[in-house]
Amino acid sequence: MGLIILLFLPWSINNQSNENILPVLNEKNIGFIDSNICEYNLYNYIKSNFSNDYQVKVDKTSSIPCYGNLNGTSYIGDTYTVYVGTNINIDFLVQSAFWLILFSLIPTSSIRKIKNLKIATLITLLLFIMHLRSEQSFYNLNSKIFSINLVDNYLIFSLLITLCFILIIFCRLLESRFENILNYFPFIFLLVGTYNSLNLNFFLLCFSFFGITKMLEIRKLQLGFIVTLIVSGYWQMGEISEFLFFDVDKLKGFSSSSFVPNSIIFWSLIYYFFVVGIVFLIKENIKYINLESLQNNFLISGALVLLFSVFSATGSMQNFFTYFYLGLNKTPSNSFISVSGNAWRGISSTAEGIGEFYAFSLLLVLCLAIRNKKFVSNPFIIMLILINLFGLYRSNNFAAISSLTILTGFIYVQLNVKSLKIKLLLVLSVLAVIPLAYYSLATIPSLDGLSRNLIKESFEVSYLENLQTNQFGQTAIEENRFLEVLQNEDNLENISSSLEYLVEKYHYSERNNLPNLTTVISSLAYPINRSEKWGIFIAKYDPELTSFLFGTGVNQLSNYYLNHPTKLNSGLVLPHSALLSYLIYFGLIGVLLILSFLVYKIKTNKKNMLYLVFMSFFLLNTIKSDSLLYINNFMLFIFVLNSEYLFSRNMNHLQPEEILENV
Amino acid sequence: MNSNIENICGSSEITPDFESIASNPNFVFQLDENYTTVVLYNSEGSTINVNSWLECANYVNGGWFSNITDLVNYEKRLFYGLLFIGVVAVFIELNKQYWGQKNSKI
Repeated sequence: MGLIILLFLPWSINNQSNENILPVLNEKNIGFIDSNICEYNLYNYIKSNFSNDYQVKVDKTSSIPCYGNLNGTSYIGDTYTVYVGTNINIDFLVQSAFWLILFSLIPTSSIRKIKNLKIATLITLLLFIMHLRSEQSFYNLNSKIFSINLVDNYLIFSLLITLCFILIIFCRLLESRFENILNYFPFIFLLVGTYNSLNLNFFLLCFSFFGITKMLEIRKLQLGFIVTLIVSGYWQMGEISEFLFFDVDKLKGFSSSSFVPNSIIFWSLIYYFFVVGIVFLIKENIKYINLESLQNNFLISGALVLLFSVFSATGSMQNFFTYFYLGLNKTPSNSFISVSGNAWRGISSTAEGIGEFYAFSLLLVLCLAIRNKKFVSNPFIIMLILINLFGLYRSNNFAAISSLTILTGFIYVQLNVKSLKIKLLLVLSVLAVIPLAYYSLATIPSLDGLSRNLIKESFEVSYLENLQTNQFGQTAIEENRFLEVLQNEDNLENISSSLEYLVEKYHYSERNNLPNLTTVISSLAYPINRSEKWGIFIAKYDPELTSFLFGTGVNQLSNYYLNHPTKLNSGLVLPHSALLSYLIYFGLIGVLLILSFLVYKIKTNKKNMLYLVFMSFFLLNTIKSDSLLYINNFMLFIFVLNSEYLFSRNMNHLQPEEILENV
Repeated sequence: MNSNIENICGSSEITPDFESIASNPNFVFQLDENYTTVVLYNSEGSTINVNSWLECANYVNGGWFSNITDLVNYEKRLFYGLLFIGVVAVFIELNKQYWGQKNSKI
């Protein structure tokens, strides 16, 4: 009932016009809505324009009385666009209420009391204020009356009191559903939970809050909190440039929109609390997970993602409602046509990310079926598998598809083939096929061309004007004389330090029959279709030694993106590798620490084959995708990283008692 | 034409060209002695007296309004509304706890 009210009420109650009938939108009365701003609500519009072709966009800066009302129209390229007013306070209330009701649909379990609620709420509120103050430019774009002055600032007071309600209600729901939550975890890919007019996410707030309660309870985590504060303090001191606004676009809710001291502290702390929250939720809950129910929920969630993707592409109103109520980072695809004939993302912000999700769901189902020697016979589950397969096909994530195939084959061979010789033969044949397939690609350049590819792509987007040309009109870059470009002082300041380093490595490395670093990266980038994207990253990534070693802050891309101008400074072009994104965030030392931790996890679980397979899947995919920058993919990764006991539970070498002891 | 203009400024036969007024920084509104001065407000609480129909229409078109109640701070109303709900919820919760304790003693 509550869901239905929240679905319809905001868009139908606020009618301020005496006349209920709105004329059909056409060329003659295009100005009617503009002349009657805030008079008619969205429901009035749907009633009179149901069959018309139009787009619906949100006007986030609307006042409370104009919420859900029509705030303007435009007619561009044969398409009418209608602007619906939304407001930061009401969005926060309506969206949170909708998601909390959905959260309450998880079946109840025995009650688990959460401690330190009052202090945790206070800390969350303080963090929230810090966030609002640090991202002022973002909020000024989303509210006409937003101000960071707290005196008589009822906009912020209302947001704070709403947040208080959300946290208290979430806590009650969590306490009474604690043991069942992880079984419903896959639905985060359907319900993303990003607020329409806030650079925050529902799950980020709620699980960070849970993380804070844990931090207050466990002394070791308090030490982690102090370390996080010290590291974020270091990041603040290290950077001189401040950026007040960075368009986070599809990363909304999980990336900073400004690069100022407070935003560095906020995102460092919230990231720490969020990770702590999820890790403890998993650790305390993993023994209650029902693997069958979990895998079914993965498949159902995948099928629903596809269903809503199709639904949202069938009309502008469906598109708008899907965006708003599922808390999507950006509006869903409004057609079934793939982007550049390539991938179709549907409701997801990233085709790569959703492709990984589909592939992981299928990998889980297939691996469990192979391990348990119990293949699916239920027609409903078979249908879900087919839908997920179709979703994977449309996402066109080649890396996910190939890693799914190879890893499923690996687990099958490992569990079913007894002969060591046959196993070895199979491994060798796969290892032989990869380079053969690599070289059989018709477009592959020569070895020299391959090693230069990345540098050329980087120079392509660097600001290098007026380069001298030879008699054939070729520049030094086209003639592969890259060092010459560096020797020109005018060019040098437009070349990033990373590009300069790679060019020098390319030219000055020892001739010892070993490929240099530039050649290695470039040759790796080409077959996985990352030459262009990584080339752009290198052109943009201009760190000093300290920021290269220690990074510039968690979820902070603005410094990387805006500090060194290139030809690509508008629109969000991401590094397309989690490794590179985390190099920006944590620096080389941070990345090495994370990698060491992953190696440690893999080493300590070397007998847990399913865990190794799932970890390999993510590690292979995150090298070439940005999916860890999206909150749902990040949560999935943390889930898999901490799921070792889940997959070792039924292993032969462990008795159930031993597993419980381990947990 | 914007229905607000007619409601606030009254009716007129003039067809206003707001774009040319906006694009001309030297445009001066002529005083209309027959026009009763109208007081307009904007969302920031500023006040202006307009002395001709065209001037009034121009300001109303730009988002100014005549009704002082439009200046009500809706965020303030929302805040007090939420606060009230919060107080009621706390009261109900305390009441529940009190009766729960009393019943358990019995």
